[in-house]
Amino acid sequence: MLVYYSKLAWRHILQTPVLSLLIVMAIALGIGASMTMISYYKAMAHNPAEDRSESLFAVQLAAYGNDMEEWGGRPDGLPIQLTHQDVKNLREAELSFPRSGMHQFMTVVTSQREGVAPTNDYAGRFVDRDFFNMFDVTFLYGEPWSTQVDKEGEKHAVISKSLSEWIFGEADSVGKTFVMIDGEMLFTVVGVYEDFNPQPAYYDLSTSNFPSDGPGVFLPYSMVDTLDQFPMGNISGWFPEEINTHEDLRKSEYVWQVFWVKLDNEEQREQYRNFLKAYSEEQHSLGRFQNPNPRGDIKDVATWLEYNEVINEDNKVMVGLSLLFLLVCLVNAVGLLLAKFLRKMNEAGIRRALGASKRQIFSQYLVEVGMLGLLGGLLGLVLAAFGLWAVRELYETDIARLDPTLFAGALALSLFASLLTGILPALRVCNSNPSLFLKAQ
Amino acid sequence: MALGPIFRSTLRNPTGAVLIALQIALTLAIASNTFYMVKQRIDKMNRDTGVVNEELLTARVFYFGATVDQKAQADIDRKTLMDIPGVKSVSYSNSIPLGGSNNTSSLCFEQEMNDGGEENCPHSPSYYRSDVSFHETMGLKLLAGRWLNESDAIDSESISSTASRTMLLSDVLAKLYFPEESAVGKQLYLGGRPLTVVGVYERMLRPGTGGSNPDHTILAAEPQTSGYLSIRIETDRIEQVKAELEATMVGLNDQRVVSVIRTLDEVAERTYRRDKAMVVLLLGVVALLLVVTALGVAGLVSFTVANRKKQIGTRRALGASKRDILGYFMSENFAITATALLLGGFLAYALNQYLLQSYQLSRLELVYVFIAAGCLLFISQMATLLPALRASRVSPAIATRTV
Repeated sequence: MLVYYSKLAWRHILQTPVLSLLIVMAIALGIGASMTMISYYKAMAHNPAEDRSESLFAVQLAAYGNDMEEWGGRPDGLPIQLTHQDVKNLREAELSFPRSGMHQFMTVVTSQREGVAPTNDYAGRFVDRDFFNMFDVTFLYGEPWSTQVDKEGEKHAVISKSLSEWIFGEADSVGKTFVMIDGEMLFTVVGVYEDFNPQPAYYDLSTSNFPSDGPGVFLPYSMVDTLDQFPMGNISGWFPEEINTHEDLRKSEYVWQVFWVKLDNEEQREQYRNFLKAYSEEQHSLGRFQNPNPRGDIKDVATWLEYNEVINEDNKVMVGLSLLFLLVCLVNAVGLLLAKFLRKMNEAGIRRALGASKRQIFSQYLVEVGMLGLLGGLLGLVLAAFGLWAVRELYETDIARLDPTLFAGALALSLFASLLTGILPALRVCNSNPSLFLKAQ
Repeated sequence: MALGPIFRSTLRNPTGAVLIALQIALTLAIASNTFYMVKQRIDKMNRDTGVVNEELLTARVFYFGATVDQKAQADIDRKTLMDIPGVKSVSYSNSIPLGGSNNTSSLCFEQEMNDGGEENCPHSPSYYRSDVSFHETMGLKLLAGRWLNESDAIDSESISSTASRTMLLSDVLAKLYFPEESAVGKQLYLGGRPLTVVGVYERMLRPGTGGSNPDHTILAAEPQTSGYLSIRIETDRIEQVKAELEATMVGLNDQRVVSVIRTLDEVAERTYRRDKAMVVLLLGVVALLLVVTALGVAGLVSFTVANRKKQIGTRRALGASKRDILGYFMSENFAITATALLLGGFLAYALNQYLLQSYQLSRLELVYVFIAAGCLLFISQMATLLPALRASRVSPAIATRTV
């Protein structure tokens, strides 16, 4: 039966090519626009930590003065970054959880290849060795520096494959040395990793949420005190401090670093929360953290992404707008379907007179509507691919891609929407009085 | 044209009319809000930077040699660059309008920042530190007082918190702090340091997209030796200087990297990329929306016409002219569209209310509803014209064929 209805439907579609095309186009445009915006939105809302999301926690502290209830412009009044002093204390706390302090810096690397000028295209980042495991950095050669280096500091470096190729002309450079920082310091490569640039860059949302390049070189955080590299990123303060040297910045109350800790279960989380509470109170009694409510907080990756408003307003507005557009397209499709079916009312009348039941006529027209919907959905996906190309060009981003999971969703949505819109016109057709049309012949 | 019969016949079979009205109302709500959002973005992109955009070339200079005398090098750079034909002025500064790095600091009436909070320190302007030729390089306009000179210049390596300094304020900021009198000669505190206002310039935008107060900027003489290099060049020479800048600068000193070499227009384009993308997407969706609505109206009017062929034939047989039939459908569409637009106006307002609450958008100005309504009325009538003309050509003989 379905095959026969499909054949009939296809014949009808071909009999009214202009109207059918308009209906398919209306559905396709609505699906295309909404799929484009939803795909882009989904890409931005992506949680790159996946199964590690619930065990990785960003740490925040209310490190500010007594006359302020809150600071940092966030709903809970906690800044998203930390002072150097606090990161130092958190790192040195007697807790066995994997953790990493970090901040980004700009650096100039010298190539060992002939005729290549030094570059500052590769961003540097101070981290602890746990970072690589916590944030799933894939090592191609070598391994992270030792825990000893985390404590005492050493000019060890973990570099990206691209940087290794840029400096040495080869991917495996473990054990080799290269020049960086002030054009004279020698660093030893201990590991080379597959280029690392998760989108959004959840490990540090204080600079850019969707950087075009990830870090090129990681140095041990334990070297922050000796290398004197000013951060490339946000520095915020709640009271004026004169900063002339790197030491001034390290001793200041300016926040400019980020700290993450890995806590696998609720027990550990509770333990860490208690630790932060005790730490805040201790700092309060030492004369820092003078706001009335000394406190700290930990947030897992999913919460952190939302808290930092990684998805901007424009994307939300565009998704809403595209759904309204889809609604208009569907209202439009209802009208066009009515017009289309009306032309076929005579035929419905004849079929009714020849014994077809209302039910049969109704289901036959729904099959036709469903076909139009599926055609619209497929065309909509093609339009969405084009729309996403436009988004990539406009935003110069690479993340807006057609999500395969949305593929089925788009087809299902267009089928559902078309069936929904098709009910009214199909009812009109099957409720028509056969004798009227027979007479009109 | 008698509206009575039109109403009665529309009410007898309202499906088509309701669908058209619904579609037009929704379209009006969406289009008017979208037009307004587009207008706001375009205003933002077109706002006056206060500087001579088309004459400016900028670059980032980053030293990696530890032993370089950056100050002496900056003087050599300046001299060398000034000798290039077409170059008018050269400056090093911590940031540039619309550019990357941004220093902001609270500007207070009293030294003790913790006193009085908002009242004492009402605004946080962006802070431009540069050599004394920066105003010339940027092409700023002086409104009161004087520009910075060598006696104001403080070497940025010898900053101490007690050093007295001078600064210039943007006009907007000067008026905010001293609404009644001239700001020149007054003292304010920037991050706890006293600064005397020596002049007021018309405007210079903040770095980056500028946020909600893009005009809040101050300028102080603290010569920089790296950071942003700005060169003011005759517009037709700018591309040539740009092409050779990196080689020239690294040729003078190879212990540095000169990157991000862009004209200020290119800087602006990058800064406003998101806004531009938004404008293109919004206009794209609205254009599609209007096309879909036009096709929808045409389709539904065709439907009505086909539905009423017999009646049209009867009317023609009873003496109605082709013009009457055409007029009938045009007036019917006009009445439906007008009703829909009224409903759509409320919808537009409701949508705007929602956007106001959820996002930082401002109240919809009525004029955008009228513009969108005008567009829609025109489109709707145009879309009706073709099927209505077809209706007017229905032969009176049809009336005789049925019944």
